[in-house]
Amino acid sequence: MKETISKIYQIAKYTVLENMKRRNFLILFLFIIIIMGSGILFSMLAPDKELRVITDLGTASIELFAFLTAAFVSVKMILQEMENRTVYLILARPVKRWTYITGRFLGITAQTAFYIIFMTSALALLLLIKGWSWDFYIVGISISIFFKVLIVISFSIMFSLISTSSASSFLSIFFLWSLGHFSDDLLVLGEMLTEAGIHIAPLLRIIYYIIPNFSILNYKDFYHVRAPLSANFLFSCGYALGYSLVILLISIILFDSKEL
Amino acid sequence: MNNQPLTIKNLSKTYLQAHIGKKTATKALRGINLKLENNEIFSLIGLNGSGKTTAIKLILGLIHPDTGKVKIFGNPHFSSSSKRKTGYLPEMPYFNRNFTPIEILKFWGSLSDIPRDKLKTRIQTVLKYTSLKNEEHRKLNSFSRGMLQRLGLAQALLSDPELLILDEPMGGLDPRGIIEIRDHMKKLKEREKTIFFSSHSISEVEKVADRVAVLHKGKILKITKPHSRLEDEFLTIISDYERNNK
Repeated sequence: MKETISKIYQIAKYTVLENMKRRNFLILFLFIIIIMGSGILFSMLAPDKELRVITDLGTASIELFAFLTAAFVSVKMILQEMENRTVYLILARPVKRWTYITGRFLGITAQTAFYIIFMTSALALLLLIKGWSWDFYIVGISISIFFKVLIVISFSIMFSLISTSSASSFLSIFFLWSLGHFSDDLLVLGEMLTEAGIHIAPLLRIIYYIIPNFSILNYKDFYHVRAPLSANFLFSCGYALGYSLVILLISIILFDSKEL
Repeated sequence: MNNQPLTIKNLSKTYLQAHIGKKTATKALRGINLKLENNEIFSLIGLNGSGKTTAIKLILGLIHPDTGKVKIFGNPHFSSSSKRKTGYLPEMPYFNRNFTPIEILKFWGSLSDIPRDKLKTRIQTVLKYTSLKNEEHRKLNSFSRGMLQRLGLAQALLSDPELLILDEPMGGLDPRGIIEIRDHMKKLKEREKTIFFSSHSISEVEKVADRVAVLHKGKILKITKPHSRLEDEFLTIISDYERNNK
């Protein structure tokens, strides 16, 4: 068991190192440019709403950048390793297939967590410079974004095992991401269609339960109206963790039977 | 205890493909049997698409057989104990070009069950053996094809395996690279290693192998000793098979 944990750790560490060498972290500088640029722009255009705009734009950018890097890195890394057969060199060693997938998952997760912490710190620093008083809610928003992206990572790994092209995997993730933010609307749509005589509400309800519900982790849109962070927040994070672990398990099963 | 480095019994593999509702089955291997002796260089020769890479993938457990068994030193090929005793060099090994040999080898070593206190020494040994000692901190993006092949060999030798599986080890190399790999294979035999390699270069096989298996359309047609007229014999075996199976 100790050996297996050590191998998972080594694969995760190598994943982080690989991404650092590919200089994916340069995207963080783009984030800094965006929030600093918006800070300067809105201090001139609407000084009274400056903090609000920077907060909204900053948290939306954290989510977007975290989503893009997690999805892109997960899809690209796994597919590339199978295409150029680097994965053969790993699996020809005493490494179980589930160890490889788990190591990759944890490596990408650690890297994404670091990016989110970095971006949140940069945003908080800019807000403090602009006269904002520290608010713990921003940490809650970042945690909720992290758990959303955790689901994205697990799905990206799964899609990269099923698909043969990074474009189709990425599009599937994007579709799922968009649908998951409007999953509550599926139930409303089902009711409306039933009233119109189209009885597909049960099907839409099944889809509602299957697809990830990202809207329950959408705390960033409620920063100014203060949705409570307490019990709901823990439930939402637990839901995302459980959901991503189930998808990870499916990925492991798929990879175990995959012909390389 | 079974001391046979590699035993293959009745190994078959069919690839299934579905395209617009139509399923096609391609038989890549049809019940092959092989037994490798200790300290021999065994070559699997065949035309492109004869099933050489499929056989290697099955030995390494990268794909699943329809029927048959593969054992490495008496243990199932997918067991950790078998993998610890096996080194593998793929055809045209790919490495992340942003890394240095030492970084790459540290990673592979950490996955090869090499005790931590011995890993450093093993890395230095294989770097020296493959003449990459002076390049250990150089990024791989400046490496030639031959140097990358040597690094591939270095990673295969890292755990000091008893059995080496090399997939087209001379493929894509210039004459100097081919000679280097051939010399390495001979030296490894002197060190009592067993080598199983695939190739379609019969002239190279002649110079290095102890035994040769002719693989054609997923079947082993003959196992023979290499000789100066191996190429003619190979072509005769294949054309006879084609004639008899029209």
